[in-house]
Amino acid sequence: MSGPNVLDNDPIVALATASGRSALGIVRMSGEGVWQIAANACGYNGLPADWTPQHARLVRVLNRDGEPLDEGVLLPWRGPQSSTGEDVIEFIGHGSPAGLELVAERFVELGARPAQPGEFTRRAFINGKLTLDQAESIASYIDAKTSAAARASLRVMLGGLKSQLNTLQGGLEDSLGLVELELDFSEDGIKVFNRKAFSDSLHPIFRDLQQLQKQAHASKYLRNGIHIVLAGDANVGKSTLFNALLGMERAIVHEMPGTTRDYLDAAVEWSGVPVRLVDTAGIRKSGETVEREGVRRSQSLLDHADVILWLIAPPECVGPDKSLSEESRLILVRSKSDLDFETSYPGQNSDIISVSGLTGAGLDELKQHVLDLVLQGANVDDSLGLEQRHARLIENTLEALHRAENLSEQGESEELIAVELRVALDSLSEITGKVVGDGVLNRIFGRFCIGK
Amino acid sequence: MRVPCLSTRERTKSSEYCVLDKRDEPSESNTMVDVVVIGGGHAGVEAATASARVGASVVLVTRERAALARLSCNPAMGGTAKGQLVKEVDALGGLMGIATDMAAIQYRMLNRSKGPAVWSPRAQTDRTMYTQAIDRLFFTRYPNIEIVEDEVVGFNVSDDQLRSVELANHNPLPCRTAILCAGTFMRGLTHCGTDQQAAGRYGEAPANRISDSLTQLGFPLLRFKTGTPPRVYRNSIDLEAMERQDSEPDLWFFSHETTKRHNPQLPCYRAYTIPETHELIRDRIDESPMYNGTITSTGPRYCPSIEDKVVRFPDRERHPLIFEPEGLNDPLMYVNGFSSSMPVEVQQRSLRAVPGCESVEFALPGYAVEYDVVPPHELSATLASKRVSNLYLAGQINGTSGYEEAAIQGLVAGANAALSVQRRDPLILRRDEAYGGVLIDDLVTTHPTEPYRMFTSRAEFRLLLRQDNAEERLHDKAFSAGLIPEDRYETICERVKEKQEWLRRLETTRFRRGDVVSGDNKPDQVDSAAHLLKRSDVGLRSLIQSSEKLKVYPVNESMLDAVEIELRYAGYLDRERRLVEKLRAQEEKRIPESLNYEEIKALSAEGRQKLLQHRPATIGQASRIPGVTPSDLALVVVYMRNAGSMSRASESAA
Repeated sequence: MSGPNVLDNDPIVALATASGRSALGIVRMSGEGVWQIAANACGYNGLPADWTPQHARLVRVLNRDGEPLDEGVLLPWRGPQSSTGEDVIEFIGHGSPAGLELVAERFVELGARPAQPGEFTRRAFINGKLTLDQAESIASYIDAKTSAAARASLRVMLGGLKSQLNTLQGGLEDSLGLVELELDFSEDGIKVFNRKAFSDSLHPIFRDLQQLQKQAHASKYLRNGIHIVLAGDANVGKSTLFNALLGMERAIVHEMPGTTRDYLDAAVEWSGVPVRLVDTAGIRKSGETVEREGVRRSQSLLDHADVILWLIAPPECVGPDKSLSEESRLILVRSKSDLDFETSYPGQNSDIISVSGLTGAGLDELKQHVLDLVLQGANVDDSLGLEQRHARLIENTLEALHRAENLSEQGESEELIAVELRVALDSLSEITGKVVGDGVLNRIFGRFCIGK
Repeated sequence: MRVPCLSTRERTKSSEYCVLDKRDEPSESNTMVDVVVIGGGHAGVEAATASARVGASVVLVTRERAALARLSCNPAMGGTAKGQLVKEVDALGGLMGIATDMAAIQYRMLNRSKGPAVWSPRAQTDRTMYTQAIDRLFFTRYPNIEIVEDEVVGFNVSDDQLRSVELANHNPLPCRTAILCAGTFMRGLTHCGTDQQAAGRYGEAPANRISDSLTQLGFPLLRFKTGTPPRVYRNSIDLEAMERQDSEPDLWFFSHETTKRHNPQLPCYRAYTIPETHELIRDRIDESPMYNGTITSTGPRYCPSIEDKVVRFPDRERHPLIFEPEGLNDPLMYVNGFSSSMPVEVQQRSLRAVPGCESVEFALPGYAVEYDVVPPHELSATLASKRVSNLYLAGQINGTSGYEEAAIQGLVAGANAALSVQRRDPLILRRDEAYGGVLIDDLVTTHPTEPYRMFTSRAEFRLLLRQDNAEERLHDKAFSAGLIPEDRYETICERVKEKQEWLRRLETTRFRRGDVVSGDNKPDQVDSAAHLLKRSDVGLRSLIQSSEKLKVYPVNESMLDAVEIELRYAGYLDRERRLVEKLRAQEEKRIPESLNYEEIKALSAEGRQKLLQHRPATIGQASRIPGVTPSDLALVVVYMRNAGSMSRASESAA
């Protein structure tokens, strides 16, 4: 079995600053090819000729569609003159954790891998950026970091997840054991791998993994908060709702359209989940320069929102743009439900939740709706300690298992199914920390009378 | 059975056995031998002949010339993962594949219904013919290997170097290296009920003094156990009452040099135990040395005795037994599945309960054997011991089981002993290039708790390690070590080149929409031939026939098979090769033998203990030792670099 590879130099990425809001945040990459990844993320095909080591550049990191995710300072380093001794990229962006995570995720899309706990330090260490004395003192630090991560996962495991993950891994090891049994003991005429039973056994595993994926997804919101933007036509009561949801008078509420010219935001907690509420300027055509700037900013806020509350109020009942109206993160809200009138607009295709910022009617329902939409039924307590890294590992596990299922259903032979099961188990065991290794053979010998 | 003397030594003509009495030849007793091989089993035979191929002078010491490469257990060779090992032995110029083909009386390719990556060749072999075949190969191809019939009783070691091997009846043999292939003979003790005998095999004296000598040298010893079933008279059983299992018609061979089947093919017969068998065993279970505490050493779980199966799986109503012929004209059959150490009478009564065996007569009862094993963390990947660097260990002494596992170790040890004498680079098989590499790496990085058997599931690069490509995988190493001759090497190179050529051709030949490919199958769009072949309904042969461009090239069947396998697994093979590439750096990062782990203060306690015990040769090996953490590895890497720069600094200062 292959052990940990300490000489890895594949590109890794992580947020270098602590999670949470600060003025600036750093995303760091290290390893072979990180300059190219960064260049690609900034929209270049090749490496720009003017990128030189230790010279900062102002760049925009773009998403897959070429839209900007964040603007910031890019600082490239060439190994061995770098903190890890490898090629390094530092991107210093705006402090929004959500934005920085999007940048990190973009780097991952382009070929980097989320770093393991302590991996940057380990690389610095391997590449001689430290003396042996320093290295020795830092070894315990690496271990501490690893064990802190382990403790974090341990916290996960102390919840309902512990037995769930172990059961999952056990179930997969069982399946792999059956496959290996057929391959290694065919002499004995053993026929134990049943494809129908295999597919059946995968279904609860898929269900559990998808649930885990939701938890990991939810954990992102637990760390960064749910980013909710209130939007809608002018004077539909966004600020009233904003205040009502905050439970305090934060926004200026005024009957004249266009009162909120810039955006306002505030942090609250709903059922233990941090929430960032943003009240935007009303989107409407306006001649006033200040307001036009406000509208432009609203658009950008909408782009980055986790949830958009689109408010509709009479008499106009203006719905969102068509592009927006099909997004799953959109919730239609009929405001001013204390006033009695019909609400609907042409092309409306989702339910409307009625609230009254004045009486508080429907507010709890709305909060619950937002939480359901974002957390997808994930258990908040169990999501603590799950990280982006975990989400990726779970995704890898799921993908490999889907391939295994397809191979099995297409009647492909067992050695290929075994490859995919091993990929899945390798990913899963990175979360559980339980080594597979000899376990599979032990299961075979424990449960079957084999050998002659 | 008596085997005629096949030694080239004219002086020994008078004897029927090649007894070489060194006391009568004082002039020769001081000749320094490059390699002394101790033991003439499967490891010893491959060790001696590999050393000789590399160009060393070799003396093989064995108790009994006639017992060379004796099949101690079942009369069969190969099987899952083991068949692949035989192919690797053959690819490295060894004898096992050739002898198997010469003695084969039944061929079966296991796992035929699965993918070609796990096809595993297996043969029933005639026990006598196998030994004779090895003997003949020695006589015709290795006339310079001297065979001495004697028992080794000790080692003369000074300054951690072996100087000579002490024999019971001859003068000591001065040697540059020695390879110990003692099998189950070191303090061998057989059990059959309460009957205990000091023996390495039934009726054959053990080698007790080697153990003492090894202990004196500081080697720790473990105690393992294995077992074998009874041999019964063929004419005492009713084979008609059993299921017949025939040889398969397809022609294929273990050795590259075999072109035909040498013998008529014989069937095996399958029968099943019945509950009465189990009851008879259960009633007398306290007479089993395995269950009454007489034997405490560990046996192989994958090869359980019949009493083990009955006790551990009480709900099973029957267990399969295979009656295997011991040979073409041999009156005996081997009862596969009925390994036992119960008293003879219990074995016989319980077997007589099996339909078809009502009047079975035993020629030899089943028995268990306990023997000494050297924990293989004492070895480096060359199979040289770390304590005495010119003493090599191979085969069952290293805690493995099986002829094939022994043979590949013998071959690697033999090659390395000879290479070290010639001060040439060692032969190290990697995990991604041979089952032999997996086996030896597993041995030196872990601590065995039971006899180690090869399984395909132990190989993480299973799709790369196939029975069909052993030569392709190993020809470079085999040739550079001098294990295969140049003409064979060139033939393999040409074949590899031709295969690459075919693969390239198939990648670049395009089919258009509407081109007819194998009957009704039409490509959906413009597609390369290689890509079309990944669809399982398109065959390579029909595809070649339907292309004007491909039709013109000469084809040969085995080449087409190889190309088809390569394409079928293409995506997976690429992935495995990428993974191999990724691991390469740490496999190549060597750790100096003299590295002082005590100086690295921050190592974890367990990591330090394991590193000291195993003294891994590379960072890759170290990473596979259970208990060594990533930060331990990182510390070792940093320590090595700092030590390196320090010694460079002191050199330049001087």
